[in-house]
Amino acid sequence: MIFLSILSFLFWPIVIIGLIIFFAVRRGRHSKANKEWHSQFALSKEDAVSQLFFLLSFLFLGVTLLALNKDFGDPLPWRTIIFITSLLGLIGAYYLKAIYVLIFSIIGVAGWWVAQAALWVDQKNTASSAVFLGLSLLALLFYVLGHLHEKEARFKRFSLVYSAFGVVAPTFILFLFSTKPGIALIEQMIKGGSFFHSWQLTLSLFILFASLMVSAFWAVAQKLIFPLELLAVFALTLLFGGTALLSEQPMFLSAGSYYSYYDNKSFSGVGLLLAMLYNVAILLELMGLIFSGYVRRASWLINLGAVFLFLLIIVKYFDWFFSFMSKSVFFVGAGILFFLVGWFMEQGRKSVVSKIKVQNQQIPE
Amino acid sequence: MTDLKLVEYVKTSLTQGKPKEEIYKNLLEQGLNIEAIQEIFNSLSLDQEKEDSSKRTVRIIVAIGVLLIGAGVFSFIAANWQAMTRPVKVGVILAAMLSSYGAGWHMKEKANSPKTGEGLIFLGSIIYGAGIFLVAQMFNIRANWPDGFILWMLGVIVMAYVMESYQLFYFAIPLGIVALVGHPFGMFDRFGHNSFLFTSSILLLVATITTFITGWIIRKKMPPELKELY
Repeated sequence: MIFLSILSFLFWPIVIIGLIIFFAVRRGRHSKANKEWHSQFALSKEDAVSQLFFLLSFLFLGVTLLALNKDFGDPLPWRTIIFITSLLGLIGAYYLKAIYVLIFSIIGVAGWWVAQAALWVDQKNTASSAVFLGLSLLALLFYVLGHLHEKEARFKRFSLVYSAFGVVAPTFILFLFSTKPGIALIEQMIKGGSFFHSWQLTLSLFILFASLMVSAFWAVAQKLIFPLELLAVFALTLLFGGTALLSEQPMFLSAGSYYSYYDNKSFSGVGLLLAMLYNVAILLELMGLIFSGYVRRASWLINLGAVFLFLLIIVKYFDWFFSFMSKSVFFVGAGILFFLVGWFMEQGRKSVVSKIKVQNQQIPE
Repeated sequence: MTDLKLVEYVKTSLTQGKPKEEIYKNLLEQGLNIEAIQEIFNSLSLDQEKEDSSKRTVRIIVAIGVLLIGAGVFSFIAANWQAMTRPVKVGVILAAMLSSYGAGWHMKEKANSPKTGEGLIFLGSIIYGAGIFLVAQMFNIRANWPDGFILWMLGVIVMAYVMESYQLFYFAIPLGIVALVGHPFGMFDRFGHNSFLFTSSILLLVATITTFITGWIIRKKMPPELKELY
């Protein structure tokens, strides 16, 4: 459970910080005439201040409910209060078209799931992979919901929020599981009984899976996502589902510290298969991200994909060569790699983004 | 091409303090479309940019001035705090706050120095917040410390409404965040005795309602071209 705790603690802060940086660098072009107006954090001073106050209001509502709950002798568990607040936040976000409230409500719902599912896991002593599977299905659902919101102009900013969560979260999971510590985490996650022993976990995972399938087919029927994207969603569902459903087994041949990143432990058969699958999957996903950005003429997707690709190359270099090469050669190699990757990415990204801008200018309003 | 008469009309209306929304409404009634009105505002914004850099300089100088005065006043009070009686202490806090607000209002509304005026009003808001904690400490008031930040935030919001100052609205937000982060610590403190007070719940409820209404009212002031998105 310690890995799960670290994962749940680090996951959302990274997502939030990433989103804030991502949106913050896109500020400055304040006009609805701008084709990418929906990717701005605030459309005007009034928009920013009113949204921040709505966010404060919903956060105050959550803390008020917690305080009143305590005043009346804790009749409700704190998890239920988080759920109620997040639900009210979602309703409020749609009614007020407030994206800041939406961001925090989404995080609230995901946080509630982690807390609630962890409790169900503890109660029945089942494998904690159910928590991971629920989060993965939720993230994929957000990706599809993002595209479903693209239809109406007033929901375009909602679309971006959902899509950003839907892209960042699965990428993070693939990233993590494509490394040795990630595989060690899988080994920890699948320890324990089958999560089908808990009807609450089974039911909620089924609801999530059914929602994902219905919304994915609906999005294809509405021509809001490409068949290739649907295929990618299915493939990721299968990969995450398959990983979570694995029976308890070792992922490494020799025993060693799970916390050590660069131990010379060799993979077991299943461990090697998973490592290969996740490495191929992360590479394909990032290429698909950049390709999808190009086809959709969305430079934010290309930029995001390029940043992730850069991080992937660096992480893989460390993962594969740190203990393999002499340290001086390793660092010189890393320096050269940085220069080369930076140069290629600058050239590639520039050319793709400029092509998109030219195409956007050619499209009449 | 933008009609010079219309540009002049918009410029005059803005200097008269008419809201953008009203100007849009008047021009729409005269048969202009949104794009044409936007063009007029754009032509004005070019002139505006030239003024902005000098305004920014004034704002920075005023901000430094506010910080220096604030630091000086606080260090003087801190040095002489023990020697003062309670009525004198309360009097000093009130006098500092009211004189800062009063001078700020005069500079903004009467002396045609809005930046300096806003700076002084901001200083008044800081003194108001410091006053809350000093009074609580003086009279040993039993309360959870984040309540002080909620009271501070509420006062700043009221002042922001009165002075129509976005600077103060922005200032109220971090104050609210401090209260939001601080309260759960008090609630879930397992090591201390159960010290959470019912007054805090009431204050939190007031903060929920106030911040919602504030958000709603500011949303109403949204530029017309953005309203279709809401």
